[in-house]
Amino acid sequence: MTAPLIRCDGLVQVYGTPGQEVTALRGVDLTVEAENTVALLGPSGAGKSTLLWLLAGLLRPTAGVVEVCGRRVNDLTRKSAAAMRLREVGVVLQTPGRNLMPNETAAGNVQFAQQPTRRRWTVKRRRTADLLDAVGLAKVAHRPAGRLSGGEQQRLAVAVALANGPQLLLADEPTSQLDQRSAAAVIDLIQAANRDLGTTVVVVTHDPAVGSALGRTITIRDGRVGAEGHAGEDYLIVSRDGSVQLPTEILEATLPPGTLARAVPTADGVQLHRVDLQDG
Amino acid sequence: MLTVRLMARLRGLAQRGGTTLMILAVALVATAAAAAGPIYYQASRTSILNDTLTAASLVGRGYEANETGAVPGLLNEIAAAQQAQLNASLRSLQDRGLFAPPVYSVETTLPFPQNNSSVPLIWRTAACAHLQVTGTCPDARGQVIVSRRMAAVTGWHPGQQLHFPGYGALTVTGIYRLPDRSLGYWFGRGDIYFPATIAFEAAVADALFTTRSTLEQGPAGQQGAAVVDELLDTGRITGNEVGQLRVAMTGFANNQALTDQQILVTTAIPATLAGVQSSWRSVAVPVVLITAQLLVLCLLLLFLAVTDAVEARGPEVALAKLRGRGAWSTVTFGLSEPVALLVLALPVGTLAGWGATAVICHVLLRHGTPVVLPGLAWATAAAATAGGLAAACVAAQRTLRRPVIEEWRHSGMRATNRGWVVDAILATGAAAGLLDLVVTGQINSARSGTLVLLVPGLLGLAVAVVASRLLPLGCKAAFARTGRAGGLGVFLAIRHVARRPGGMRTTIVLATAFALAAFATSAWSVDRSNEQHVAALEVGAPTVLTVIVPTGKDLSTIVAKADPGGRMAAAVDSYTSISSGTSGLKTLAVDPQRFAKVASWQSSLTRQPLPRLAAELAARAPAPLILTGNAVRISMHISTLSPPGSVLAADVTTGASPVNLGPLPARGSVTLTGQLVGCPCVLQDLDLSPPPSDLRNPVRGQVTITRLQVHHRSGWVDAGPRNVLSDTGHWGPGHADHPPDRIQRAAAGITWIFTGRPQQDAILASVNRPSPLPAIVSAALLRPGQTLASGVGLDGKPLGLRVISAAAALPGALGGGVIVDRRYAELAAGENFPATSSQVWLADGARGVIEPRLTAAGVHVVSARSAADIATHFARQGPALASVLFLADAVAAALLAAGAAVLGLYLSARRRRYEYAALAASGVPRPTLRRSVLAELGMVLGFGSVVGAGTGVAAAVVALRSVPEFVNNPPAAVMSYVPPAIPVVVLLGAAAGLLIFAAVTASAMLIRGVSSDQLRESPA
Repeated sequence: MTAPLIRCDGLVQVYGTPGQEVTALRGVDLTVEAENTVALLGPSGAGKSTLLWLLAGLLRPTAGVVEVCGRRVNDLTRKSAAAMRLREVGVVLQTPGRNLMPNETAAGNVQFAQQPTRRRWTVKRRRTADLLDAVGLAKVAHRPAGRLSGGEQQRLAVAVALANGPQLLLADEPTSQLDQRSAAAVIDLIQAANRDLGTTVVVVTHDPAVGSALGRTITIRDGRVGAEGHAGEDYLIVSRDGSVQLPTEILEATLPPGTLARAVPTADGVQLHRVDLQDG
Repeated sequence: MLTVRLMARLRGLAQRGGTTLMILAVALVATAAAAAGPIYYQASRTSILNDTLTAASLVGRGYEANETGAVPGLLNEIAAAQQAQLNASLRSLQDRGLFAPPVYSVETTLPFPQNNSSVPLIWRTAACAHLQVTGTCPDARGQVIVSRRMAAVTGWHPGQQLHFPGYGALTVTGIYRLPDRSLGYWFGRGDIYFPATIAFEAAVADALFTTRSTLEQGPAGQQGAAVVDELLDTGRITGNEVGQLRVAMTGFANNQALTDQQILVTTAIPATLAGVQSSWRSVAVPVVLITAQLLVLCLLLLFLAVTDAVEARGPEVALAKLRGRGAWSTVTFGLSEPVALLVLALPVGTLAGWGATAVICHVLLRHGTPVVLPGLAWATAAAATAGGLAAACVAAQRTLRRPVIEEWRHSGMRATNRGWVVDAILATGAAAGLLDLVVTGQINSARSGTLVLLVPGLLGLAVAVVASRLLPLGCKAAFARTGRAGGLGVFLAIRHVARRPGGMRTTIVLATAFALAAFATSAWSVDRSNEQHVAALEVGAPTVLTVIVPTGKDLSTIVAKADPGGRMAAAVDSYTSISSGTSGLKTLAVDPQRFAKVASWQSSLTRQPLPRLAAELAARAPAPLILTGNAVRISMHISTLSPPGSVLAADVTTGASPVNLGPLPARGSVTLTGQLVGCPCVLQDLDLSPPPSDLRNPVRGQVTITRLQVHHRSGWVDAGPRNVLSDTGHWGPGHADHPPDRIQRAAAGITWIFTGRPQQDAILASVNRPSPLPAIVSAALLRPGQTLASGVGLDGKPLGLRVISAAAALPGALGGGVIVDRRYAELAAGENFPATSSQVWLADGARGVIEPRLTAAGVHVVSARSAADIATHFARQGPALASVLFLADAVAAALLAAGAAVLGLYLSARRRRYEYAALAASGVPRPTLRRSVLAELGMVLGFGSVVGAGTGVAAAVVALRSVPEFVNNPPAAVMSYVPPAIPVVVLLGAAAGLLIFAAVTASAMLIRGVSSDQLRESPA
């Protein structure tokens, strides 16, 4: 059995200065196998993007362990983190314009991402053409990226992220600023990368369509992994301290926060029954 | 691939056009300024060298070696010896051809009985080429040419044989005319060769020019001189040779071997070259200081511009890191644009600096001065570029090192926290520098020094740093008020200025640059004004002609005829003392009324107005007792005389003096007669000396002069004014004796009672002038309250003076002197003053009218000197050239700072487009938004420029006195250090106009570009 591509163990991330701290992640345990596709869901401020930056080596965890592509992110130097992002990890950001050099052409952006590698120029050029063709931008290869539409820019961003054949593709809400058609095109590209290249994909998203398009969903709430979804089914995750995040609809309807409940163990789990002490 | 990437780079530069333009402009100015310094200095050196050599006297740019002895063979001896020693002194310079071909001459004098004098017999290299000869030039032994003047006086003609002892018959082959004796060829020996032509006197003889063989084969014992004259070839000397040449010529002039051979070398080349080097030094240090200040300003601007430029590329830098670029690769990526611009600016800026400097030098420097591009200019430009690269690295390091997440979150550390520390360091450093200058006496002292040029930069920086902090504070204080009234435009503007740390940097740079510009403008205008003043005072009048007056004629009379109105010309006698103790002191004997109209006088020179002083100078005195005719007769009655037989003589001016009248008896009446030669002349005094046999006893007695007559063709007539023997005012004691002589009016005439001293004559002086003579005296020569002084007369002898005014400076005598009445001074000198220079001082524009009239009257104009020429000469000296460079650099700095400020503020406002778009979308009228931007720009730009200009003017008031203006400082009293208001007002006005125009344009452009589409962008 091969090691997972991503492993988070008790991951904690705290921002800010002493006295004004914000805890973004409160002990995340997570594994992602190679060639999987994972969508990170959850409300704003849940810690999804923070988890993504930790996986990209852009942050060093406050506590816990993060391993990506066989490297322990906790121990990475800046140089080795950059090397990891160059060869192992591709990143697509939310804003299309932020993914690209607006004055470079579409082809130039893909070549820019390959520049630090030691491939021959001809190899780079061929790869650039292949990638642009794969994302449907071959006809605008020589147009400055700043003059492409939002959807074209995001497709180009995917091509740039895949320029060096990374094992892992991280995308932070890649479709949030796109119309439906463009968003669908970007998702298709991401799926194609996983299918055809074996790239492991982790996508942060609010879009349920994106979530359902990927093989696995992980819901993060309040800095913890609260639920997972596989093949359309959602499952609660019991965290290290035994806490469980109930689904929102149960919280709103049956067991709102603050409710006293009796846990009744069953053969394969537990039943929760609301208790009103006045009733005895 | 390269082309594609280059195009992408160019697109990036174009997209960030504002910052690109600013970086490029600053880099160009920095490299241009750095290169301009050495270029300007090199050209100035050449101009100063050529100016100095051209203006130098002949001995100042050449040497003369002279040996006296037996003429035959003398020249060979001296020629070989001096050439060998010269070559030995010059060493490596001997092959540079720095000297023009030498001019040799062999000279002797022959008796000239006709004039009771002597006549020079001369051979000189190529003499005929420098004379206009009618006939043929001598080409064989025994042939001579004579001057036209001599031919006219003596009747000599071509073909005639002249006989001189020892030389036999010399055949006249031609008549020569002297076109120009001031040519360097004659090396000042024109006075020796052509005295008759120059002096118009018949009693001297012009030289006979002959062949060398005539002299070499003359009598063995004939004494004379061999002379070698050699001038520097000024066109071949470059600045690099000056130091070595100075040392070589000093050694040559003091050469012991030549001294042992009795060869006298006369040269002032070392002094001339020392003056050149001194003038160079007065340019070199200021050029360094001025260029350094401009460079520091440019580097500061560059720092700000690159900070903005790299900050604008922050997202791209973050993207590069995100894509896995390493540290060095990211730095290269982030700095590629500014570095490319800096590298491009190196050759372009250097060439631009060369071009701009060439234009300035073409206007300022000596015509034809080459403006080369020396290697040092490239080196300094490269150093400026290196400085710019360093500034760019420092400016970019914050953005380049910022983590990717932080870039996305815009949570960078606020600049003001670190900026406070930087500002404190800047202000402390500037204050320390100023304090050092004050303590070492560089500021506000009589001593001038180049370090004072740092004052405006240091003071400007210190004030600017403080002021930049006050502006946001002042705006914050206005929050409440603008919240209640003033309109939305001002409301927004005040808040934008208060919260922007970048505005403070703009204020610092703008204020410092304007301080430099205001100071430089003040200094330049004060310099120009002082140059005009000092030039006018140095010359004495707008134009001064040095003339030679025909014998027997009076210059005052000629001038009066040439200028009847008395407003255009004045006759002046000028004598410069060479006696120790009074060396250099000038005596100017003037026609007071004309002098008052013509001289370059400033009312600040004396407390009294010049017309009043002129009247006092010409205080009334008895008319001179003029003796005409061929004899003088005096009748006296001697009451007592001891010792008897004392000899009476009359001292007269000009002519033969004294006139011996004869011995007087002890008692009785006597009439004595004496011959007058060369009169009319003025009776100065009657001198009674003891007989040779009784010199020890003082002469004492009482005599009455009853008659004084002169003899004409028509017979004896009374001499002098009618009351000369009835008015005791015409006579005075010649000595201050104890008891003093008494002069009384008697029925028969004037009675003189005298008691002399042993071995001293008794003198009855003819009073024809005030004694002591009224004089305006240089204050530097007097003690406070001094009213009597001893000056130097036109004959070089002591002259008693009564000080009617102490002047801060005297026109024509800046180094110290006295002004007296011309007629009285001439009388005091016995009308015998060969060492005095006759001058005609001309009012502005009078030369074209007066000079032809003087020439028509027989006056020979030797030279002319104008205040305008002297002012031009000053303007090409080192200190003046430095002030021009300062002005040019400072104006460039001010323009650059203003442009950078406007651009920076515009770009900063453009980053707030989202805010303006939101305001416009919410209904705020566009004119209000324009007013807001305009008010913001106006506040920052106006505050910075006004603070800077005010600081610059204040620095000028404090420090101008210490700024070097001349190579040799004139008296401080003639200098004015009050900066004229007009140039600074013009500067400020022009700057205000440009800034207003720029601000209005920028605000209009900015708001015109605001649209609701910008609301889609993220707020900055």
